[in-house]
Formats: sequence, structure tokens, C-alpha cells
Amino acid sequence: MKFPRYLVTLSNTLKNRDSAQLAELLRARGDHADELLKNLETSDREYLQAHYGATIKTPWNEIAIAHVQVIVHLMDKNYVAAYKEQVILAQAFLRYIITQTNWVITALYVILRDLRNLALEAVVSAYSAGSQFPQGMEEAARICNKAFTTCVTDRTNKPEDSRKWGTYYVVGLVLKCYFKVNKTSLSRNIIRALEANHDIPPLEQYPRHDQVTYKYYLGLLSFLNEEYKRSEEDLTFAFYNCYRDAVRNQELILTYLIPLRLLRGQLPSEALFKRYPRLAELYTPFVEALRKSDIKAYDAALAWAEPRLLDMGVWLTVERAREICLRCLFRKVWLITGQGTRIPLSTFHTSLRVSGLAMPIEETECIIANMIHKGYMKGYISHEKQMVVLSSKDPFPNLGDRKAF
Amino acid sequence: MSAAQQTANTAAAAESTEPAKTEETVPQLGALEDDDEFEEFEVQDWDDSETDLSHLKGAAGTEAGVDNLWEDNWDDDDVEDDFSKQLREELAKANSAEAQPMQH
Repeated sequence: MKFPRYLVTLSNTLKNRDSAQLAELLRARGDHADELLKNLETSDREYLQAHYGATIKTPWNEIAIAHVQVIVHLMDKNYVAAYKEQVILAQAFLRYIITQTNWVITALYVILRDLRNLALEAVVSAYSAGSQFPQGMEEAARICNKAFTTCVTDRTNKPEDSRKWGTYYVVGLVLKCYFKVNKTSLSRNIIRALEANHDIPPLEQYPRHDQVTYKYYLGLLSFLNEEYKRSEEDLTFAFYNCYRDAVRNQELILTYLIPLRLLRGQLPSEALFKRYPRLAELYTPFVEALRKSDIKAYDAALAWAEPRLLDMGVWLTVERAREICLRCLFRKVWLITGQGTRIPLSTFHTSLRVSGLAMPIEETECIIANMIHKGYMKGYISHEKQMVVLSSKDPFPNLGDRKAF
Repeated sequence: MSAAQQTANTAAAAESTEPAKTEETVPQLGALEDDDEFEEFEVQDWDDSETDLSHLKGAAGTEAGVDNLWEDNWDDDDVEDDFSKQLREELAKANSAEAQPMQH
């Protein structure tokens, strides 16, 4: 497709408000881009502007010419330059959509996705060339943020045609940008802005794509802040609403959901492990150790899986779930000794030693006190008598019923 | 000291530190090479039937303990497994040692 022909196609697409076609015409890669590139006589900006600038209304001349630059730079593998042109394209497009309904959001998604991917490629290519391109990802996030504002503040269109329908998708992109560069704390701003806004439709009315992506990142943020209850709610929603064929996404959700569930005494089943072999590989030793109240095995699993747990950011939580193992051990002691209400501290002390945890008796006392404090056991310690006095009723509450989380 | 002797000595030294070493060299589970970014879904929207909600028996999404993916009630009162037996023995031993502290 020659450039003048491209402009005509673009004009017609705008006139017909053909969402899918518009998105296709602006995609940085793909059949259309290849076609345009093949028949391109020149990519000289001044030349194109001088000859064709007036044949299409502003800002579409600017957008079309920037698009040409992007695909030419991509062909040359000049990712930094391609990215910079995509910035120009995106900014011009954002100016355009202020007057439009939600028919433009498919194209908006494509443009922002390309922008983000090009930013990534620019960072990587600059890095391998020995230089740096630090503004990349954060600038991309800023432009996505601007797109968010453009969507959220649509006050002219009817509810069903509103750009507000683009909100959650764009937020998902912003969050992906921040997570990519480990600036997760910046996510707070956009989430706060979103939560303060009562003008947009409720999340459940958005496509599931947007709902699940948003809930995943929300859950991940709470996870990082150790707000486990919220995190579990959001990740549970994300998992159960996730597209079943998107196995990798389900696997990512479960990577965080499993340790949260362990903390509440819910174990992933055989059926779950069968569906996600890599999660089975990682978490099976922990689950087995919990079932057997085997702290030694739990600690061995922690040491064995440490690199992967750290890499995925779940080490702390899985380490915390070790308390469940302690609780099961102490419950076992209670069962073996005849379910009495008075058990000498030394008995628990011995059980820890048998589990490979030799320690001073004071430390055992400390552990028991901690378990009582956290609601794993009901009772108190008589320090003088070195005796643990357990509640006669339900001394080891069901893990799911434990209030402290 | 001959070279052969030296080798023998080194081997002996290696042997003496072996137990500690094997513990350190248990192969660990390495990090995955995959990109850990949440992927773009191929479709924009889908029905309950295309999610795991369809396998839930209870209210959608709220309490998930009702499908076959999770186990709630695994607290068992079985104390006949190997570890429990060992634990019982050790507790008995410790008890008798405490009861008759002057015997040895």
C-alpha cells in the first residue's frame, strides 16, 4: 500500500468509524505494516508532510507520518527511535480521542500496547549497546496515565458510548509498566484515583479481560504489602474469573494464591497440582510436610526452593506458613498424649527436638506463647510450673476459623 | 611430601568434611526463566462456562473451598503414621528419664 492510498484508507475508516480497521491500520507490526513498508517511496517527514499533509485532517497527518517513521525504524531495528515516534503518535492520538466516543478504544489499546512494548525493546537494545534509556518505561507509563484520564473524564458521551469503558484496560497497562520497572509503589496513585472516582461503571460491567487483569495486580499489590486478606479475595476473584485456556495467567495467580491459602490451612489438591505441574513441583514438598506435621521436611523444602521462592516474591509468605506446620505438630502432641488440658512444656520441647529443632526450653516457651497469641492454640502457659494449660474446648481451632490472618 | 601423599591427604580432608558438604550441595530449585508478566488475554470477554467458576458448587467467587481444587479438612486424628510413632516413643523416653532422674 502506497502512502497516499494509506491516507485514503485511513480517512474512510475514520468516516465509517470502523474500530477494528483503525486499530489494524495503526499497529506497529503485522501484515498491514509490512504492506505499507513494501510500497513506501520515502519516509522523509518533511517530504511527506509537504506533499500529503493537507490531504487528511489534523492530527491524522501527524499520526500517519509518525506511524511511517515507527515501522521504518523497526525495520532498521532502531528501537529507541521507533519508540520516540510512537510517543508522538500516541500523544497526537490522545488529542484526537477527546472528541470521540468509545469507538476509538480498540485502537487506543493497540497504540498503548505497542508503546509499552517499544519502550521495553528500546530499554533492552540501549542496554545491550552499552548505553541507557532510562526514561522509557516511566514515560510510557505517564502516557498511559494520560490515556486513563482521557477515558475517565469523558463527560460528553452517553453512558453506553463513553470512553469510560476504556478505563480498566488502560489501568492494567499502567500497572504492567510499573511492575516491569519495579516501581510498584507508583501504582497506588492510579488505584487511588480510580477508587475515588464514582462516575465510572462498576468493575463487574467491564469485559472479563479487564476485570481479571485489574484484580490480579490489585491482589499482587496487597500481597506485597502483606495485606493478606484483601490479597486473597482479589486473587481468588482473578483465578475463578480467569479464562480457562490462559494457563500461564492462572499459574501466575496461583503462585501467590497458594501460599495465602496455606496460611489459612487450605491445601491445594491433587486435582489442582495435576493441572499445574510447575506449581506441583514447587509446592508439593510443602504440602506434604504440612500433612505430616514434619517441620524438618518443611525447612528442607524452604532451603531447596529458596531461589525460586525469592524470585517470585513469595518466600516470606511460604516461610510464614511454617507456623501451620508447628501448629500441626503441637496438635499431634496433644493427640498422642491423650488430649489432656495440661501438657508440660518439656513435652512440646521434646517434640521439637524430635523434629530436628534442638533449642533451649525458653525458646520452646516463646514459640508456644507465640502460637497462643496468634490463635493457633487456645490456652495459657504457667511459667512457674512450666506447664501449658490448654482450653478444654477446641484447643486447636480449625485453621479456617482462626481470626487473626 | 610426595604428590601422591598430598593427593591422599586432600582426599582424606575432603572425606572428613563430606557430610557438611553434601548438605550444602543439595540441588536447589532454580528460578524460572519465563517472563513473569501477566499475559494479554487472547479474548476480551468470556462466559462463566469458560472459567473455573463453572466447577464451583457454592456462591460464585466468594468462598472457594467448595470445588475440588482445595482441601479444607485435612486435619486428621491419625497418630499411627511413622512420625507419630517415633514421636510417641521419644516422648515416652523423655518421660521415663524425667521420672527416674537418679538412675544413671
